[in-house]
Amino acid sequence: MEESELGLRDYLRVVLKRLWVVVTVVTLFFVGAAFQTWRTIPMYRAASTILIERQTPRLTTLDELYKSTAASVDFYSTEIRLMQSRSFAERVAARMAAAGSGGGAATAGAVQGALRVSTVENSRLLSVTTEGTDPKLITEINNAVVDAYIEDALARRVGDVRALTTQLAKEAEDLRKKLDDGERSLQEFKEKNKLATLGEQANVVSTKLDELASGVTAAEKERRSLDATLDALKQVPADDPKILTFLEVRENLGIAALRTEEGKLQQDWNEAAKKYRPKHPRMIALQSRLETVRKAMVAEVKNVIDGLRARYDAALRNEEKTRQAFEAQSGAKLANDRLATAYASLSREVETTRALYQNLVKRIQEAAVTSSVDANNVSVVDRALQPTVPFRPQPGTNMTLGLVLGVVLGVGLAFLIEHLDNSVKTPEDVDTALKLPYLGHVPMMEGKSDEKDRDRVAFTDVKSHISESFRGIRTAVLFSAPAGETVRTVLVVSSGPREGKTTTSINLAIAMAQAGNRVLLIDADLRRPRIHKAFAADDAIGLSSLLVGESTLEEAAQKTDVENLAIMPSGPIPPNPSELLGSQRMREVLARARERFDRVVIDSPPVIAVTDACVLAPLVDGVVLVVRAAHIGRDVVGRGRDLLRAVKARILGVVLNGISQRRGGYYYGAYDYSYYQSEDAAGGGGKGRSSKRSGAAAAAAVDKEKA
Amino acid sequence: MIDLHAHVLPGVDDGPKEPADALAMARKAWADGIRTQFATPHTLNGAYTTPRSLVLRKVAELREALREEGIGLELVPGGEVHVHESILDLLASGELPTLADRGRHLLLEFPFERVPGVVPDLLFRLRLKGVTPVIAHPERNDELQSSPKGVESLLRQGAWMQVTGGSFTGDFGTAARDLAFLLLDLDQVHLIGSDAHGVSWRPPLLAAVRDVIVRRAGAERARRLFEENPRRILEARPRGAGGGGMPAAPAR
Ligand SMILES: Nc1ncnc2c1ncn2[C@@H]1O[C@H](COP(=O)(O)OP(=O)(O)OP(=O)(O)O)[C@@H](O)[C@H]1O
Ligand SMILES: [Fe+2]
Ligand SMILES: [Mg+2]
Repeated sequence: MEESELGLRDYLRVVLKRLWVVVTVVTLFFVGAAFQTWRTIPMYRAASTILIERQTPRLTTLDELYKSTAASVDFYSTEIRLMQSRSFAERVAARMAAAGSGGGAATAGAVQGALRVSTVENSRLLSVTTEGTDPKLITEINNAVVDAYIEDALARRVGDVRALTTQLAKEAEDLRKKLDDGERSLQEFKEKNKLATLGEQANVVSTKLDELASGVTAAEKERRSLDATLDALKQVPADDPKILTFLEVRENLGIAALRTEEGKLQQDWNEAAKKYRPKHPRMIALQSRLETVRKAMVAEVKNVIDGLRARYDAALRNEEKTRQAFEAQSGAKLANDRLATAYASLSREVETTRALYQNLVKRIQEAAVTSSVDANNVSVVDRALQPTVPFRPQPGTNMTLGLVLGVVLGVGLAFLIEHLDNSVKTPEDVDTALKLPYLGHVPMMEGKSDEKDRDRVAFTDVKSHISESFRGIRTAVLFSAPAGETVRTVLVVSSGPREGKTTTSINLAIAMAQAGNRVLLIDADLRRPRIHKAFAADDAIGLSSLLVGESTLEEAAQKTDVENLAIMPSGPIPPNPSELLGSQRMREVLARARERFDRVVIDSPPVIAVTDACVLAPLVDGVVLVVRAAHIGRDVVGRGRDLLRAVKARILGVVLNGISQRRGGYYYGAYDYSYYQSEDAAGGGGKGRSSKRSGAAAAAAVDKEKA
Repeated sequence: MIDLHAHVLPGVDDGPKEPADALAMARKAWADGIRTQFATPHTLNGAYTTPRSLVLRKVAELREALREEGIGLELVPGGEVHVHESILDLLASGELPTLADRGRHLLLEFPFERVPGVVPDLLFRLRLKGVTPVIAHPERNDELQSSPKGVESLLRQGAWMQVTGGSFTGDFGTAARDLAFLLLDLDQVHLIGSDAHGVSWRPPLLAAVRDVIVRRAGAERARRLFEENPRRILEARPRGAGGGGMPAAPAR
C-alpha cells in the first residue's frame, strides 16, 4: 500500500480488513471491563471539609508561643501529614473504641488505610475523605478523624499554653500549700511561745535589764571604794595621827573628841613638863590620862575599821546579789530575742509565698483567657454523610472506558499490523506495490485437507467457487495479451516455493481444457516435480527424457482423464535442469507442442531459488506470477518480478492464491461467482450480470476460434 | 520373506568359497523364514567384476544344488553394482546384472564414505533407460549418515532405498542404526536385504529384523518391505517387452 495520500476510505478499508482484530480487542477490553466491574468489591467514600483559619490571635501575653505555628509556609501539608500519621490514626482508633463506634473494625491501620486528606485548591479548606467497603464504618471514621483533628489542632495550637497553665496551676498549688503551712506554723509558734504581744515584753525585759546593769555597777563601785579604804587603813597603825587623814576616821565624832582631849592633855602635859619633873605626881597623872585617851582612840579607830569592814561585806553581798539579778535578766532577754528573730523569719517567708502565689494566680487567669481565644481557629465546614452509592465500581464509566480503549487500541493495532505486514494480500497491493496487472485470486481451500483434493479441484469439484476462480483466471489470462495476440504458451511461476504454482497450473490447464481447447500441461519443475502424482502418472518418461532425446513428444505427453488435457511429466530428474530447459531442444519441444495443442501451460520451480523459470520465461507467450496471499513479502515478490523482467519475460499478471474469506474479506464480495457457475453448469439458468457474461463469452469465442 | 541382498553365490566375491558353504547359508536362510533370495554378488567394485552371464550361470548351478539338496529356497539373479563409469555401457550391452535380470532395477552400491558427485547424473541416465536405481544400504554411507537430507534428493530422482537388516539390530554401529530407523520412520525404506556373506559371519537371517520392523512400523509395513516391493521387482516387465507400460511406483 502506498504510504502517501491515505484517504478516509483507506482507513475504513484497513479497519474493515482487520475488523477481527478490532472486534477482538474491543471484546477483550469490554469483557475485561465487565469482569473488573463484577470483580470489584463496592467501595464507598465519605467526605468532609475542614476550615483552618490561619489568623494569629492578638494576644497580650504569650505571643511568642504562636509565632512558629502560624508563620509556617507549608502549614497545610504539615497538617495533612499529621492527619495521615500513624499516631493520629491510633488516636482516632482509640477515640472510636472509647466511643464504641466502628464496631471494633476501626483499627489504626484501617483508619490510616481509609483516610485521604487533601487541600482544596486556593482555599483554607482541607478535604477529608475516607474510602472503604463499609459505608457506615468509613463515615464514622471520617467523623472521628475530623473530631480528633479539631481537638488535636486545638490541643496542639494551645498545647504550650495549656502546658504552662497546668504547670502554673501545679506551682500555684504547691505555693498555696506552702503558704498554708507557713501561716499555720507561724500561728503555732505564736501560741507555743505565748507571744500575744511580743513587742511589749521585749521592752519590759530590756528596761529591767538596764536597771539591773546600773545596780551592779553601783554595788561594785561601793564595794571597790570600801575595799580601797580598808586596804589603805590597814597600812596605817591605829595610833598613828596620819590615820586622821582618812575621812571615815576624821568624821568619826568619838575619835574627834578624843583627839581634842588628847590635844589638851598633851598641852597640859607639855606645860607641866616645864614646871615639874617627870615623876611629879602631876606629871604621872597627866601621863596616865594621856595614855587612856590614846588607848580609847586606838579602840575607836579599830571600831571605825570594823565598821568599814562590815560595810564592805555588805557592799560585796549587795554587789553579788545585784549581779545575779542582772545575769538572770540578761538570759531572759536573750531567749526573747531569739524568739523574735524566728518569728520574723517565719512571717517573712509566709509573706514571700503569698506574693508568689498571688502572682501565679494572676498568670493562670491570663493563660486561661488566651486558650479560650484560640479555640476558634479550626472548624468543620461539612461533616461526612454516610454514602448510599459506592463510588467504585462505576459500571457505566468502566464499560465506556473499556469500549473506548478497546476501539482505540483495536484500531491502532489494526493499523500497526497493517503497517508491519508488508505481505501482498489484496488486489490493491498487486496494483500499487508490485505494479502488475491482477489476474484473479484463488480462495483458500479450507475444506480440502488432502493435497490430492486440491490439486485438481477444477476437475473434481467443478461447481465450487474455487473452480470458478480458476475459470476467472483463465479468462483474465486469455485477455491479458495485447489485442491481436493470443496467449498460447503460459508459464506459471512464483517468487518463492510453495506459493501454488503447481496447483494453479494444473487447474488453469483443466479450466482451459474445459473450455474446449486442447491443452498440454508440462511439468517443467525438474526439481520437485509433482504433476505426475496429481494425475497418478509415471514420471519415468517426460520432459527430461524428451529433452535428452530419450523419448518422443508422443511418448512424453500422456493423455489424462480430463478431456482435452494431456500432461507431460517432468521425467527423471536430471542433474542439470536449467541447462536442459535452456537448450535448443526445449524451444523445439515448445514449438512442436504449439503445433499439437491450443494451449500449453508450464509449471516451474520458484524464480528466486533457481534460474529455471527465467530460462523458460522468454520462450513463452506470457508468464503468470502466482503469489501466496499474505505469506510473501512485497520485496520477495518484487525480486522475482524483477528477475523475470530482466530476461524480458512478458508478465501477464498476478494470481493471488489462498485468499481467505475472513482475512480481507471485504473485497471478496466484489466478485460474482454465481455467474461462472451458471456458465459451466450444463444448461444453467444464468443469474450472473450481463457485463461479466460478455467477458466470458468473448473468451469462449476466442477458444472456439483457436480450436 | 524375500531377501533382496545376499552374497550367496560361491566363489564369485567375498561370499562363500565353496558350494557347500552356499548350501549351508541357504539352509540357514530357509530355516529363518527366507523363501526367496536375491543373489547379489559385487560387481565393478574394483575387486570383483561379475558380469550378468556369470551371475546367471552361478545362480543356475546353485539352484540345481538346492534342488538336489531339497532346499526350497528360491534363488533370484541380481548383482550389487558399484558406482562406475562403465555401468551404462554394460547396461547397454546387456552385461550388467540387474535385479531379477529384468533390466528394470539396479542394486547400486556407493563407496561407504561418500556419495559420488556423478550419482545424480548416473541416476538420471539409469532412469532414462527405464532402470530404477535401488540404493544398497544407504544407512551405512558416511555422507548420508551425517546429512540424511541427501537421501531425499536420491528419492526425488526416483531411487529406492534398500536397508541392510543388520543395521536395525546395530550390527553396523549406532550411526547406521539411527539412520536406518530414521528412514524407516520417514517411510523412505523400500526394501530389506540381509547382505549375507557366510554362514556364521554375516549370516542370512532376517526374522529378528522383521520383528523389529513390525514393532516399529507395523506388520503392514513389514509386509511391504519383505514381500510386496521385492515382488514388484520380481514381476517387473522387462523394458521394451511390449505394452510400453511404465513400472509402477514402489509402494511406500
Ligand atoms: N488456494 C489454496 N488453498 C489451500 N491450499 C493450497 C492452495 N494453493 C496451494 N495449496 C497447497 O499448498 C501446497 C503448495 O502448493 P503447490 O504445490 O501448488 O505450490 P508450488 O508453488 O507448486 O510449490 P513448489 O514450489 O514446491 O513447486 C500444496 O499442498 C497445495 O495443495
Ligand atoms: Fe553387499
Ligand atoms: Mg510446484
